[in-house]
Amino acid sequence: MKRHSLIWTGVVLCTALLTGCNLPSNTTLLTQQAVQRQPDPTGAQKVMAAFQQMNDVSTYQMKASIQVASGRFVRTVNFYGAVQLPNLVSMDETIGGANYLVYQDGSFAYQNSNGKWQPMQPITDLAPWHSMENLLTKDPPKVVYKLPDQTLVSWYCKIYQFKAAATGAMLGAPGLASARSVPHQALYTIWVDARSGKLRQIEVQSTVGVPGVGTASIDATQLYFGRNGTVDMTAPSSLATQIETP
Amino acid sequence: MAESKLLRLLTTPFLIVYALWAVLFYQLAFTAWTLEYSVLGVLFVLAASLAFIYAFPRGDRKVVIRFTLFCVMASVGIASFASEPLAWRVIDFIVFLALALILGRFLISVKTRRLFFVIVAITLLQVWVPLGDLSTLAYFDIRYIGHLASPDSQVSSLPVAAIPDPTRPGLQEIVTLRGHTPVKSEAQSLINLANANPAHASSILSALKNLQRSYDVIAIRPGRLRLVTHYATTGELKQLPFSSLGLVNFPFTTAHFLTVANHTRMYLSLSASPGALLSMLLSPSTVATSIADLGLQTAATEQQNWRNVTGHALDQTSGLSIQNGYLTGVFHGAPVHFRTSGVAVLGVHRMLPPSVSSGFQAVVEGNNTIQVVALPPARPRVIATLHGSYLHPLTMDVVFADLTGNHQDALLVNTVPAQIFQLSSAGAWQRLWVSGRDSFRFETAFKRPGGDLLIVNSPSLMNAAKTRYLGGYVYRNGQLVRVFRVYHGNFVDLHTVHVTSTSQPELLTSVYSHQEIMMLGPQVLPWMLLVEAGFGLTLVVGIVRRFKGRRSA
Repeated sequence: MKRHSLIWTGVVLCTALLTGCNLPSNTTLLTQQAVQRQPDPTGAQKVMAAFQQMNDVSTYQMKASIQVASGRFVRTVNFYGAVQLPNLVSMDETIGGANYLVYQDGSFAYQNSNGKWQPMQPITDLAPWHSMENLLTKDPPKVVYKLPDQTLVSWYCKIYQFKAAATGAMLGAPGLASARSVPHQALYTIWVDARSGKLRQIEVQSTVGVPGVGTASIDATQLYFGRNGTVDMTAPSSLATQIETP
Repeated sequence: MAESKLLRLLTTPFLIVYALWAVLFYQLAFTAWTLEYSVLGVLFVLAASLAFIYAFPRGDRKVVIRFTLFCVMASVGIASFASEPLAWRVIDFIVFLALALILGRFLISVKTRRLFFVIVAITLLQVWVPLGDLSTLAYFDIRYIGHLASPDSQVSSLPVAAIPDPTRPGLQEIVTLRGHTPVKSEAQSLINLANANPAHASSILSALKNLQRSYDVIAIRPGRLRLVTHYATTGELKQLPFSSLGLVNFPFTTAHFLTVANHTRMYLSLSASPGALLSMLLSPSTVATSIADLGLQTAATEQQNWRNVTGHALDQTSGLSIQNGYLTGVFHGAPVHFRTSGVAVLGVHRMLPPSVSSGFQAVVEGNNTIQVVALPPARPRVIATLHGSYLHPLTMDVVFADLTGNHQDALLVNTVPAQIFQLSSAGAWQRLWVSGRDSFRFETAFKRPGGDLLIVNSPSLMNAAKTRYLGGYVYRNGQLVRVFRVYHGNFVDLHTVHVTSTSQPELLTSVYSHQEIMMLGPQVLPWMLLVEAGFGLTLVVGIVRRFKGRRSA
């Protein structure tokens, strides 16, 4: 009897080892990601309230990325830096392994590329929630979904998701691309702090069909922290040196 | 007397063979076990090491173990300065050699002269194949390794492509980029050139400005002894769409192409300034549209640049192209003009089961959708559509493969997780397989009569890490059955090519973050088997010596 069970265990172990290298079909990831989201009739108000709560913010720090997936690759631009409203910015930027800097103090705006500072057009609105408020008032989403709560960094957050128009000023020459392939909609996901009701993170997802390249999927995520904290916002020394050195 | 002299002469070659075996065994077996089976793999390594140690009689152990470890450590030591500039490599090698020999003299009872030859042999092995690339010998022979250092850290992997070789009908050649090294007085000759050709002055002057950060577009084909490089001609490049080489860091950088003195060059510029990107980001309600527009603009500019340089007018697949919202062209002698939402043709394949139809279909991609369009002799119409979502977008990251050898192609889609779709009849997609791991990727497929060999990059079995390694699988009974694994984690942009052989497919790949391209071909010698046999043989030799020693005692 004992010997019998030993042989069977051996057989089971051997089959497990033999077939263990094969990859069976496994749909758990798919079903897991079919997010358990539910419509929340008051979601739009809650999101709006979170945006409005940001109106007392004077400084904030941000960690953000813009990802574009097309063909076999995902390309990312990373941002890390601080903003002091209404018009001070100091931001690190990584575009494909190379580092850049943006510094703006009022109408004094410079960007650093290839180690050299060059003047740039100042950025006018530095409060991202303004653009979201406009979107919600102008073009309110039909349904706002509530996603399962999540801990983001160390904040317990409620998550809302909705589809809305991705309108706004188009860059560059209009008519360059057929209007059909420009996204009409984007999926917005908003993380709202469960305790303070403040905005923690915004994620925007969309796709575009690019002639000859196919679908490019876009994901822009921005996380806010260090609200109303003290940050050193003086001009970078390399910029001062470049300007002062004869 | 003569016998002992012969023995002495043979000792060094024997030690060299043993050293090379030890290095290969460590890379192909021990490293592979650990990467695939995690803790269990470490246990295998321990078990194999213990078996190795106890196979030898006590008297032999010291020298065998120390010498084996010496070889493995020397190989890793030499690899550690392989990426340095040549001068430093030479200096480091000399210092390393001196230190290793001193260490060897005291620790191992093998003559220093012999250790010297052993280290030289290990070095030569790594000159032939870098240590990190030895793992490919588990299933492939290395046909080509090209170190094409680029001047720009923005290029994380060099794009590779294959085109029909004009000199050898039926075979292909490789097209890729190589970092351009400016030569003396090149600037002056460019200035002269610009002044002599006022029509092209602006493009020549921008080439001049970006001289230090430009790339030569090169083609590689087999020469008499090995693969040789030449500057790709515009006639060769005309066969490629701009997307083959131009999408480095798309859409954040724009590739510019120009021809200077009959050599095609590329350089990159930022598509949007850092400040502009930040301003896009800080307006979340418009960022999707801004980035989409950036993508459309960048692609249009690159397409124009490519057309100006190579004269490549249309991206055609089997005679079909997409123009102004229509799939147009001539297929099997019949004209096609069909309205579609697609923006790119993925390919022309037999997507339906042979029992339903044996005709061909065009597979086109639109904004987050894939359409299958019937082709002549059938009436052109959409017979099936696959939609992506914002969470699972459908990019052009798909592979077509005949899974069972019945001449019906399945669609292998690299969503997260990766999936296999097949049409069971018009309009009816059947999901054949879904990956249980989110980092699993389909890369390409080798045609095989009984069902294609799927080349994938998949994570290891018993490890939660997302690191992917090359693998080959066939589809059987709803499972992917493993054919081979190569524990090399950096292969991107894989293509099935026929550069040296029309019958046997080769794998062309770019190595991520190494600015290196590789071409792998089918094996002449089964290295994996030889290396494993070597381990068995070593154990047998040890046991025999042990047995003999005990009898004589």
